[in-house]
Amino acid sequence: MHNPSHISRRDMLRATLGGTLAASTGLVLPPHAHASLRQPLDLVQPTPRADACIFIWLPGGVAQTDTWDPKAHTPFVAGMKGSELRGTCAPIPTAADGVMLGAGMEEIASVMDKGCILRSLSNDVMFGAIHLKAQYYAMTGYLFPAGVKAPSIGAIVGRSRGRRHEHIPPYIYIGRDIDSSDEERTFISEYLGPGFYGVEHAPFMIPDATQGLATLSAASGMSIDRLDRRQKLLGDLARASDASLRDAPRAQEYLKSMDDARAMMDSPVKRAFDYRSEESPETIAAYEPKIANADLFDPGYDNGKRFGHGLLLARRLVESGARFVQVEYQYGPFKGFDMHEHGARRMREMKQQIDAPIAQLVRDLDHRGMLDRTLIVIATEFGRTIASQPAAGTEPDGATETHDGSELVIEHEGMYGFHGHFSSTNCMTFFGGGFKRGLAYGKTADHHPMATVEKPVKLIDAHATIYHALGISPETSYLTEERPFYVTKDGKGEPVPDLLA
Amino acid sequence: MDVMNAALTRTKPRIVRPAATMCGLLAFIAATGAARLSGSDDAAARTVRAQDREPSPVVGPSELFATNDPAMLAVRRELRLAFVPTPPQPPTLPPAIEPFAANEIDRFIIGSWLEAANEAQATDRNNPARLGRAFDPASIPSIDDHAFVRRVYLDLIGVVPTLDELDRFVSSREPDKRTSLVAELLARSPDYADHWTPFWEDAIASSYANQQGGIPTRGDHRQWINDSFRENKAYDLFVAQLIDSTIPGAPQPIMANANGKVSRVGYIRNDTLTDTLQTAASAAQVFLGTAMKCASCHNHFENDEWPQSRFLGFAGLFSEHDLEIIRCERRTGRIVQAAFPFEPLGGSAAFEGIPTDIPADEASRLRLAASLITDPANPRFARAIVNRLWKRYLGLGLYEPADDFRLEVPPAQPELLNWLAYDLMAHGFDLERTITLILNSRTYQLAYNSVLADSFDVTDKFAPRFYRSPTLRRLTAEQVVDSVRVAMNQTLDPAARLYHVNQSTALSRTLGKPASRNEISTQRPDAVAVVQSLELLNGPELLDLVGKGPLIDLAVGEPDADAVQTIYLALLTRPPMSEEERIAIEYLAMAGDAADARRDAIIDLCWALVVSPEFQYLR
Repeated sequence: MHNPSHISRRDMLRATLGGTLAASTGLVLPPHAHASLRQPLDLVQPTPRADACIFIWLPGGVAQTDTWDPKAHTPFVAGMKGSELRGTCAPIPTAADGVMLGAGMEEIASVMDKGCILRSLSNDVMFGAIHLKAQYYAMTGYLFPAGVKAPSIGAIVGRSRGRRHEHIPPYIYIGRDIDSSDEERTFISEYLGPGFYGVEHAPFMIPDATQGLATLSAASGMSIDRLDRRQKLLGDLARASDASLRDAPRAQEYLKSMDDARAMMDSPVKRAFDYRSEESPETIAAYEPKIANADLFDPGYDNGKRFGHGLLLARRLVESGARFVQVEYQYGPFKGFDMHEHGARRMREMKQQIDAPIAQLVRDLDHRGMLDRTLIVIATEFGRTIASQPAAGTEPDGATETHDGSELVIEHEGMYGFHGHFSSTNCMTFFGGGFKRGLAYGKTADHHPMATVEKPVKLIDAHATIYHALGISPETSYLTEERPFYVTKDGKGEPVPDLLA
Repeated sequence: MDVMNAALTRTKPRIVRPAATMCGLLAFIAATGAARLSGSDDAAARTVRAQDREPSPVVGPSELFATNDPAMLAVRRELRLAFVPTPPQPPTLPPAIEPFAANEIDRFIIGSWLEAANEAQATDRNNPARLGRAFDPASIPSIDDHAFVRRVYLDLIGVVPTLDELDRFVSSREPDKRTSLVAELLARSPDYADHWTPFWEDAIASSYANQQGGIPTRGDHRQWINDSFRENKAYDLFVAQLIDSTIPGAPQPIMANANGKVSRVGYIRNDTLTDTLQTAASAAQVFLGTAMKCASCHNHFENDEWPQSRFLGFAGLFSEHDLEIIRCERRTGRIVQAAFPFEPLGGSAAFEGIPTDIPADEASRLRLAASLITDPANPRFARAIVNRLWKRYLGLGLYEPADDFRLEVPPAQPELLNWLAYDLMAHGFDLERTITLILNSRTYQLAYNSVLADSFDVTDKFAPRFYRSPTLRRLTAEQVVDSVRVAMNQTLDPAARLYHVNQSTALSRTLGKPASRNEISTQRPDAVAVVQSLELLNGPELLDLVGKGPLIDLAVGEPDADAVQTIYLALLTRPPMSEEERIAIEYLAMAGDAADARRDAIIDLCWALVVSPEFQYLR
């Protein structure tokens, strides 16, 4: 385990020398990191248990009661009380002894012996109705506004561990379209981004795996020959230009980066998109949703295929040498996992879209012998609870955390489901990557409010555990505005030893 | 020195200085009124003179801070200038070294070179001449007309010149044509304001939306910023209006519904303690060049100047009440009295005249905060902005980081910093005046030299900076996109400028434009990354920008050599050098005579110049 030093952080900072860091920690540093990174000399980076991470991000607020932490099945009866509704599906046994999942997750259940569920992710921050604040917190470990732009987990891992393959960006993000003037989406593009780390740590965005990526093939109307001719012209002219600029390190770096970009067009990143010809039809089918678009409650919101293919692409990218790939089931307010009515039906349909692909990803990595060194994380911004009022989502801030549903009468099936935001408890699931297997950790109450009753784990400690598995001390920091900004808030995250193998 | 002092005496208001006590202040004001402040012909005092027509007002301390009249801001400024224990004096100018000193700035800069050369000669006996030459003004050349016109266009209005504009300047035989061009571009106030707008939107976290996903923002100040720079609003008034919304012309906060909760959306946010602390920290960072966010929940990790209680005293000025020390989320029950915790010019604990009885309501506190922050006796205010201007036009500030001035780290050119700050105050915080001074200096007009250019490294903060060459500056997303449009269309369409566009795209993100402005920022990123280069190399947006327009049509119709010349002038603001010309002509020739192939080759040449380091960086 990581052994925190007794010297105060302040003293350690005083004793720091920037340039000696790489040598003393063995950390692989990107070329620009030295000037801005100052770690205490005695900060020991843990030995990595995993080299890569696939972070499956399911924003919207997944009802833990119907998935990772099932309670008793209480079928719909018109006029039942909210307090009586404990689960819209039956708990099912899994390949892990004594670990149950919600029905509809049969595929994941069959690989649960390779995974570990954290059921007691507990918060003392009440997010109320605000998804984005909770998402920002979940993805960065800092409450918004943090005073500086906080980097997301992927940027932290990408920066701290660097590339695995020369031509594969360390942080790749699949499944989100952020080209937008929609104020919610622009906010989202910030918290999944590099924050103050800057563009060199920005994610490589792949909005939709099924669509490929325009920039990896020569633009329309332009042959690859012309692209290369034109780039050679750039190089020739730059070499012929004025010596003072030609010799400037920044200009050289800039041109080198253009060459690297061209190399990426021939890199494994591009080849990862060739899955249709290279993977068997059975494999591709396994990554696809088990429900037709037309049968969805929201037929317009059919991101299941996009999500499943995103996972397949993520697997191929990690096989090729990606460090951190995040795959999102694209968030939309009142869509997907953000269920404010018809929760039972919507949840059934969402599970039909994510269950098989996630299980297939675990199986694929396991069959390839990669699961030991690849960490899969599945996360959402908060849990869900029974609504306190018929119009879910209108409760005053914090009200959903304490009520038991006894005031609510479930009059029709549209009201049957977990429609309230629940900040108190959340689940996070891990497969492989040095985490324990076949374990469910922590316990929540069996009756509303279903808050944590055993072994609460704070978010920064869950993050610290992920970082620890990836060989990054939670006390790692990078400078901004001349002060250290830690990968877990104030460097205080502590890995949870019981989650690690 | 005498000439300069005479000039400053001329512009300085004539004030009789009694004893520096509040008592004396009251007596003085009562006896003289603002009328005594007249007699100056500078911008600051012009508004004061308007008071002469009215009976002299009797102004006591509370009224002094309570007034919202912009004219009274100037009165207050003059009064306070007269009453600080150590009044700001014009720093002594070093002697002029003919013919190299174009203006006062150069006298400071060249003075520092001569000093460094002397030191070098004294310490390096082996090769005194070599080191001496590195500081010899005669061996450090200034730029030619082409480089100058590119630099001032991009610096003042944020775009490259059109072919006509370039030709007009280069062919002019007017001896003062550089000075005239600076004045001409400043007079294009809408274009000048357009170039400033995104900088201030970043710096005050202005947002086009009142709320983002249920979270209130700091409001949309785009138009107000733009208007302020169009009219060259006095900088102290600009800042005071932002903090105190009761001043006429101030941007007005609105009450907006964010997810069922009504919040005040404006630059000042006070809904929660975090909002208050961040408002105060942002104001200190941007307007006083003092980073203290780190002190908001514990003593500053690295800067002894800022224990948490000192910051909380300051933050209390932005709140409706004094603030409690909450150390790393633990309450202590200890309340810190609101105070203005900045050192005065003289060096004692706080400058005189700061009221000790802080008003109890938020509006009065904000009025006080606006007044104290912009007060000339608060030396950080004017220094912070002249330092930002210096950094904006030379690449590196006189102190760095520009957001984090520390007493323990002296500025690179302390006398110059003080002189510029004094000059700005003495001229009514007229930013265009300071900008004119900088751009007309020989220092600004020196050629880029990668060996002589300064650098700043946080691990070596005491390294000197001599400004013998500007530092390479990455163009902002707005400068790149707007310049490409100007070059391709040969006209500046103000409505098409990128800062108007709220949509975030792969290209705008690549070039460093923030998708949203959740946090303040005074510096755009300038790092390069493969992911971004890929967008420049092969992105559809840039291809679309350079793929059409009058420039292409013009070049297509010209013989190869002329086409190359035209494209170089339009995009890089200079003719090609012979080797460049040869390479480019060869490229066009290779395409052959088929119309489509030739057009494509011309587009390729435009693309190659747009993505070249010379276009992306201003040198």
